[in-house]
Order: sequence, then structure tokens, then C-alpha cells
Amino acid sequence: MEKMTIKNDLCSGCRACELVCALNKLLENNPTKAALKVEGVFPKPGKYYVNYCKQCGNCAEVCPTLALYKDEGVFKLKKELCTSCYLCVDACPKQVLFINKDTNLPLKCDWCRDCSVVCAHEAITFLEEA
Amino acid sequence: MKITLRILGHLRDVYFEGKDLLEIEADKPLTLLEILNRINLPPTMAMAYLKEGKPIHKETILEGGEEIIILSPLSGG
Amino acid sequence: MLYGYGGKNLWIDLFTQSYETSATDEYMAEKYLGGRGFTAYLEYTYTKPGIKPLSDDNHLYIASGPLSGSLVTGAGKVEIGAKSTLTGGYGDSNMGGHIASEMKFAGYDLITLKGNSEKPTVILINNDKVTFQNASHLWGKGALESEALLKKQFGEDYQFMVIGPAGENLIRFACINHDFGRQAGRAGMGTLMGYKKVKAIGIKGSKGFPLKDPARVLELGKKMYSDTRNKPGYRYWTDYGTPGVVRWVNENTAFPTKNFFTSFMEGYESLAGEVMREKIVVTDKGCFGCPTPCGKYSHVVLGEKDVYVEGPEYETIALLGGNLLLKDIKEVAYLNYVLDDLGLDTISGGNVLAFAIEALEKGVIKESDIGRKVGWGDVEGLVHLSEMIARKQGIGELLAMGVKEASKALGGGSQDYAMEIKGMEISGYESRYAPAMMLSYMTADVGAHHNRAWAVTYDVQKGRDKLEDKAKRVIELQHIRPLFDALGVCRLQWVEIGLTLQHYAPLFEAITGREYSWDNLLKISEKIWNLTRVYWFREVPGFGRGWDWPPKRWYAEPIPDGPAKGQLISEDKLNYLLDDYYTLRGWDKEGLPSVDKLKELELDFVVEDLKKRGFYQY
Repeated sequence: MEKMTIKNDLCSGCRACELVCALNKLLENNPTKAALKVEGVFPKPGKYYVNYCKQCGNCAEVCPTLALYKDEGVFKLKKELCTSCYLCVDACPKQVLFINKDTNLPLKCDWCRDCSVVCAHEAITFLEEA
Repeated sequence: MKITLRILGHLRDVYFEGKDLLEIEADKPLTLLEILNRINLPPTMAMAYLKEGKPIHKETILEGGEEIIILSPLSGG
Repeated sequence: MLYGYGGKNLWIDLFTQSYETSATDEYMAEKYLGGRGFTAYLEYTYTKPGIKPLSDDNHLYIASGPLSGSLVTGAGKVEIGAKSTLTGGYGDSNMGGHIASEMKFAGYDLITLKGNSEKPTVILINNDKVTFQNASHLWGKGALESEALLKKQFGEDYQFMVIGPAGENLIRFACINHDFGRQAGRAGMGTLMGYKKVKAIGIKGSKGFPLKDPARVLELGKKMYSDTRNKPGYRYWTDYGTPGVVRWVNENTAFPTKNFFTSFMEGYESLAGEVMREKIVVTDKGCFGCPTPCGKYSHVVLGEKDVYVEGPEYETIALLGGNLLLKDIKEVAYLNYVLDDLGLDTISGGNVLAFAIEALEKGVIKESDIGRKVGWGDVEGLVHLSEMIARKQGIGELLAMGVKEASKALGGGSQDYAMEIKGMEISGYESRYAPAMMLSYMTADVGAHHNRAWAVTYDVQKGRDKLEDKAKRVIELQHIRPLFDALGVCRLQWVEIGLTLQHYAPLFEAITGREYSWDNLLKISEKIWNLTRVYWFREVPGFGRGWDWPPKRWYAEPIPDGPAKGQLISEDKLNYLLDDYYTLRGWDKEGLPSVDKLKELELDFVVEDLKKRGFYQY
């Protein structure tokens, strides 16, 4: 299967990925609600990093209601089972599970690929797993 | 042999009547400069000439089969 | 509801360290869009007429546009406007980075700074909350150094606009720095911030803003990004950014060299984009939402100096490279760093330094005024002189006024080579063999700046001796390019990469819910252009044709060498260009817009105002 792959050295910090993520997931124009986050380290050494979901499954492991489930390698959320306990948010090692304050639900990356569509620099791509 | 020229930006309208694709037929390898002379484009007019995305010099010899992109100048800021 | 807008204006009173908000004016949004439209409208209607630029009444406006912060390529452009401290006329400066988007996410389309603070202050805007922090510990520190300290103190997720010592010391061409290397460079916006004793403004927003049709924005926006990536010019542009044009400008002899003495620099190849990329660039650095980042972030080791700097971009290479004869890209980058940290605009700064060297050569300034020898290509001397200017030491105090005022004070024929129009130093294109570009500089509404109409390609392609049709083309460009500054978005993907109206128009509609034809948008742009023009007439006594005139070097001194040797544009030709331009614009012989033109553009309030002030009495 294809896997989300990040090349930090190609990122130029434009945040289009965050913007498109929030638009796709919530129909909101608000990058702070995205399920990934770009961070820059300036002035030294002048680098960007993309924090993103690697589908490690830690979130699903701690979910007491089995609201998080695996679907073809991607962990997804069944909204109706979620009790907003946010154990998953605490368990996320990359801190890319955010609480959406409007719905009170965690926002989970489902590898929809829109971030890679707007990443012209190809810092975010989906590549066939080796 | 055939060399394909793809013209990007406003040079297309100024020099090539809006055409963005030209094909040059030649019986021997030509330098980029010779090709530019043939299509009547002053060599300093484009910002860059790209082969496989990389800029090339005007003395570069083209053997045929290449696609060369002629890039109109982009403003400095 | 105003879709596509943050929805609010923030009015900050520095005297009382208080603030209030108001709803974004729907009339302004409809008639002036945002960005440059807002700064022009407010400078004319809200800033008190006749004030001194450095006075308590000169408000500083920061305006985003309706496309800023949305899924539109290059949606990170902010306009900063005020009566110019450099020229005394209409002033604005456009900057990329993350300010325009962040202020909209915090809910603001416009932030206005009124009055002055008593003590050095940092304004912190966190969504609805605004606080005023003491900045005494940062006063005197470099802009880049201060930004790093501010991020440490208040958090990485604040976007900062910061001034350096040059702004604090009221150097007339002080800039505003942001994101370690983006600048609102021109017209002295940093000077006014310094006068207001505002060391920095920090903005953080997490509210987002409403779109009319978010699903459609998602669909169209994604297409706009992937179309950009698929444009064949994409790779070259993003690899080299604006320095990609250095070779072209030299081959076509339009490179300002040695204080605009000549038009071509021997050895320019070492300043070309390809060389820069290989030698010093460490990462591409994009503005908000930019798929084609022209920003190049560089690491420079030069002797014992070890610095990081964004750039140099083309203009800086032209004015610090060609114009000062620095032939090593590392030296240019290092001087770029010095000026950024001091908070000096590199375009005006490069001009002032070049002017000083020429004045020194001609005996108008003495070595003892500077305290050491400074010559062309002498990076150490130039750093020394830059420090003197930013701190107003010795001759630096005089040079700090810009080349127009400095040459007036110095005399000795130095006005002939003070390279400015309307008091603003000329940017990176030598125009003695480029009439359209010359006219573009003469008529640009902030002074001699290139970004209003980059017409040099038109000269090169249509004939450099030809004068016909040049005015027409300049006017077209003056409406198209600044329109993007009103929309709050970068023009480069459209002008350079080849996106079309078919990308922008439907997105604009999906974002704002408002439908504009292209002609309609251009009409707004023309209205803004006329508004900035009449501002000059109202604010500058005696303003007219003479203010559109270039320095003597450009009409009386032929290019001395190189491929364009012997070229100049005579006064007769300049008159032809200006006459043609004024006529096409519907302006009179002095360049004053006619009553009919103003009324056609719905600028009736301007007609009333100017009549009251004694205009149109004939």
C-alpha cells in the first residue's frame, strides 16, 4: 500500500497542508485545526519539520470504546462511539491528534492525501511501501 | 533529427504568434545558439533555456530528440 | 456577513495603551477590496491632511486582503501604509510572510496604530486579546536578534513584525522585518513604527474566517496548487527565485552598477541564482500558502562572520551587488544580513551607500567624515558606513535622510547622481535604455519602485528605442500588478508562473460570494491609482510634473560603457512619455487627474475635497 512520506528538507513552511486539512475535515478555513503541523526552527539552523500521523496506532490501543479502528492500514474514528475522553490525544507520540472544540471530537488524520496535493515541493508524498 | 522547443510566458506572443510549441528539423547536431538564430529569437531574450528542467548554455550541442524549454523573464521581486 | 474577511478592524491607541474593535466596513470591502485599497482609502480619508510624516497624527495601517489566508497560491501578502517618512507623500509597503494570514485568523482585516507610546513597547495580539508589553530590554537590539528573543519570550506561534536600531533612530528608510528575513522595506514604514516606540507587533490567531462555499474553495484551491506545480516554469522559479533573473538583466544591460553609473557589471555571473543556490542556500522559505517559494534562506561564512539570512533576493543583489560592486554572493548576503538586522531597507540602503562612495570620490564627502576609507566592493567599509547611518553617527546622520535630502544638504553637484524619484531611491533596473521602465519609475505612486509596473521586458521585446505604446503598457501594468496587493495575495504565480484568470475569478467568488468581472477589478485598481495620485497633490505643496522627473544622471549622462554604451533618454523624450501617459490617464499637463476622470471612478469625495483646497479653479 501507499504510505505517507515526509521529506522535511523539501518543506518551505507555507502551511498549505494545514489549511487544506482543516478545509477537508471540517470545511473550515483555519490551519490551527489541522491534523498535522509545520514547525520552523529559525534563525538557526533554518529548517522546517512536519509533524504528522504515521498511523502508529497508539491512539487505538488506548481507546476504551473502540471508536478508533484500523481500516486498510489507516486508523479512523467512529464518531458515534467516541466519548471524548481524549486518552487518544494524550497517547499520540507526535501530538498531531487535536481536539476540535466545536465538535469535541479528536481530529484524526485518515491519509486523505489532500496535503500532498497542495504540497508543490513534494515534501509530503504518498509512496508505495518498499 | 528533431528538437522540440516549448515557449513559456510572454515571449510566446511577442515572437511566435502565440504558438507555444516549435519543432526544429536538422540534419546535424546544432548548438542552442544556432537554433535560436534559426527561429529568430535574440539569444538574450529568454531568462533561461532548460533541458530536463536544468538551465543550459547557449553553446550546448543538441543531438536531436531533446525538448528545450524557453523561459520568459520573470520579474525580480 | 462578510465572507473571506476576518470581519473586524482593530484600532490601537498607543497614548493610552488601549484598543477597540469595529466591524469591517462593507462599503470599503466592496469598493476597495483590502490591502493597498484600504491603505490608500484610509490615508486619504482618515489620516489628517497636511500632517508631518513623523508626527503623532500619522497612523500606521496594516491591511490584509480578501484572498489572504485562504487556499489560494501565495495568500500571504500584507500591505503596510502611512504617509511616507521618506517621501512625505503616499506611502505603502507590501510584505510577504505570515502576517496577513495570521491577522485574519485572529479576526482582523485591518490593524491601525494611532498615536505614540511613551516607552518602547511590544504589542501582542492574541485573537481578541491585545496586551502592551515593555520592550526596553530589546530597544537598541537588532531586528533579527530581537525576533528570536521575542519568540523565546512569547512563543513560537506568534508572528512578529520587528524594527531594528534604524527604525528606533528614525532613519527615514527604515524597514519592518518579519519571519527572519521578510521586509516591508520601502517608504519608511519602520521609521514610523520607531517614532511610535513600537519595537514589535506579535499576532497569533486561531479563529479562522468564514468562506462562502468552503467545499468549492477546497476543490478549486487544490486544482490551483496542482496546476502551479505542473507549470513548466515551476522548477526554475522555485530553484532560483528572483535571483534567477540576474543573468537576463545583465545580458540586457539593465543592471544598476556603481550608483547607476553604468548598466552592466563585469563578473555578474558570480551573483547569478545558480551560483547562489550552490554556495549559500540552506532551504527554500515560503510565505503563507506559497507553492513557489522565491524566498531562499542562506547560511554565510565570511571570515570570522557566520550568519543566517533570508536572501539575497534580486533587488538586494542589484543594489548591494551591482550598485556597490560586491562581486561575491557571500559578501552581498553578509551585507544583506547587516542591513536587515539594523533594520534598513536594502534598496534605499544600497543607493545611499553607493551615493556616499561616489560623493567621497568626488570630494563632496571627506574620508574624515566617515573615519575610514570606503570604496566600491569594500564590504568592511560598507558595513561600517551602514552602522554609522543606522545609529546616526557623524556623516551617517545626513545620509540617514536618504539621497534626496542628503544631496540637497551636501550640494557640490551631488544631486545629479542622487538616484531617486519623489524622494524614493530607485530599485534594481537601470532604465536609460528602457523607456517603459523609466516611465514606470517616474510615475510609480510611492516613488521609484519597480513593483507597480515591471515594464523592462516590454522594452526589450518591443524595441528599446521606441517610445510609442510604452505609456499604454505601463498603465496596464500599473492596474494589474497592484491589484494583487489589494487582494492580499502574491502576483508572482499569475505574472510569472502562468496561472490565469480562470484560477482566480471562481475562487474569489467561492471565498467572498461576490462576483467581479476582470474589468471591474481593474477599474478598482485604477481608482486606487488615482486616489494615491491626488493624495500627493493634496499633501505636497507644489506637487506636479517636476516630481515625476528622474535624476539628471538618467537624462543627461549617456551610459558610458558596455553593450548599451551611449544610450540615454533625453528630456524631449521624457516629455513625450509623460504627455502620452497623462493624456491616456485623463490627467492634465501637471499630472492632476481631471474632474471627469475622478467622477468616472466614483471619487466624487476627492473632487469636493480638492475644490475646497483651491484645485480646479480654472
